[in-house]
Amino acid sequence: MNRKLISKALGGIDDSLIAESMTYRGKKTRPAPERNRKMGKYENRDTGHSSRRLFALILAACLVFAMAITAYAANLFGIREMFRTYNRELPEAAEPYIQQHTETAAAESWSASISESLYSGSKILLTVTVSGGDQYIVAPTDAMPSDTVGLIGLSGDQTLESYAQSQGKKLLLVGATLRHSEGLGIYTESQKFENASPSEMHILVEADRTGSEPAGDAVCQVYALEAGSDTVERLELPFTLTEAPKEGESIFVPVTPDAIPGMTVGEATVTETPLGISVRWMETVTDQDAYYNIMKVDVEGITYGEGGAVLGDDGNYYFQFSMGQGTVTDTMTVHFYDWDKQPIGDIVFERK
Amino acid sequence: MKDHEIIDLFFERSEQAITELIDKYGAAIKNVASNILKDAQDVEECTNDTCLTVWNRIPPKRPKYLGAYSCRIARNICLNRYHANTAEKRNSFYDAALEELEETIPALSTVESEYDARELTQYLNRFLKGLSQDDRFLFLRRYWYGDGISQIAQAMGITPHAASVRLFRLRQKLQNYLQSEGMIA
Repeated sequence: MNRKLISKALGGIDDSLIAESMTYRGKKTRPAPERNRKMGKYENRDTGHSSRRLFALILAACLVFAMAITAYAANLFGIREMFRTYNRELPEAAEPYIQQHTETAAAESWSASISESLYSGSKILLTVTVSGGDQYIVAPTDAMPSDTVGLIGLSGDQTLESYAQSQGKKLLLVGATLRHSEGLGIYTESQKFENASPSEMHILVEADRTGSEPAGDAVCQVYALEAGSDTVERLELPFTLTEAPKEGESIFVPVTPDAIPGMTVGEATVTETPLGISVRWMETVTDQDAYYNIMKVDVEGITYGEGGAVLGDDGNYYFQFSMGQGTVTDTMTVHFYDWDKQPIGDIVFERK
Repeated sequence: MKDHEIIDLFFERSEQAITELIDKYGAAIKNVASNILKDAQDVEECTNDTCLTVWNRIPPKRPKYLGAYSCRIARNICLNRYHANTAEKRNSFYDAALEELEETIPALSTVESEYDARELTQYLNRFLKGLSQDDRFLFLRRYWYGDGISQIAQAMGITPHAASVRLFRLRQKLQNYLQSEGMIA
């Protein structure tokens, strides 16, 4: 729909809603570092009494058995299906390299299993299914109890918290990560969530590695926080990565490395794989405020879904994206935008 | 001063009404104007035009929410100027916000009409009422008030990245909602 009509449609929104949004009345969200500290605290704590452990072990064995039976069903919703849920298509060339998995693990009252993985150079895709069993309604890790049930695929304006109560269950906020895999060098990672039912959730983990050296063994850590609780429960799912072959790699040199205020860029490495085009360059920060003002980066001729800059172990930032689609030519023009999508400037790279 | 007291001043035709309106809602009106228009002089003129329009409409109108009512008038005045002035397009916060929604809501037909806009309004109202207050705030600040991401993030006490991700999910949710209602394919 064209902007003018969208703008007109927005103009008709109820006054009561506009008035409500004049000022923020909600509770300010707890900053992330505090949440991380709480997770850290859990790692050192004693996990409970021996009788509780025994009960947990018996229950875990039952859950693993149940998960093994349903593992095939979980496989039906894998990487391709998660992509489609988010209106994305997995490149056809990558499909032969999707690996099927059956790894499962269980906590006292919930369980997790890996269904599929896809690994190509610096990119890892993984689908995990988390089941809350009879005790939990499962929601994404960043959900709030006050969010509506729409977040888990139900209709209506009931909150997650009240819905869980009405079902005689508790709310479990879950997520999955590959960050703790030794030697994998995950520098950025994202998760996408899709509920199969209120008590079962599929998670797509998309991770980017700092390098493209081969990786074999990995561990997916699935974590869960019962709403209202401070303790995070974790399950570890070890699995093996099988790499899809590279199709080519080139180095590109920036013509004017300091064309964008706030940083100087280094050489860019462009890699072509069945999953798409990966691009990576180093960014040395010269003015932090100006640097943090950069939000969006477009590469002419290559479209990509997710990418970004993160701080490397050497103190420099690295910008990287994977799964780009398009054509690599001898010149690569990169457009930079700020948080309000206003253009900041361009950097041109030329093939070495 | 409470809204109904300011409205009473308008009904009494007291010029103090304008002073109180600017005192209470001037910043919000100016914010809406500056999110849509770049030029400071245009923003100032639209703010003045808004006060004059409110003066001309009250009485007989007695709005339930004076702030929202005034901001809506400001928004309409600014949009008229915005649509008339091509130089403003692609340079304002508001245009960046509309671009995001344009990607979410595809064309309904080859010939889009005012009727489509009215229909979309009804769906938007229902969709927004189904959201949590936080999500509603986020959506409306971005797409109605035209605020920048960092400005919204600051108000909510979250990082710009978190606000951006949450907005992305809200747009997806809106798209799914419009699809489930049969409004878009």
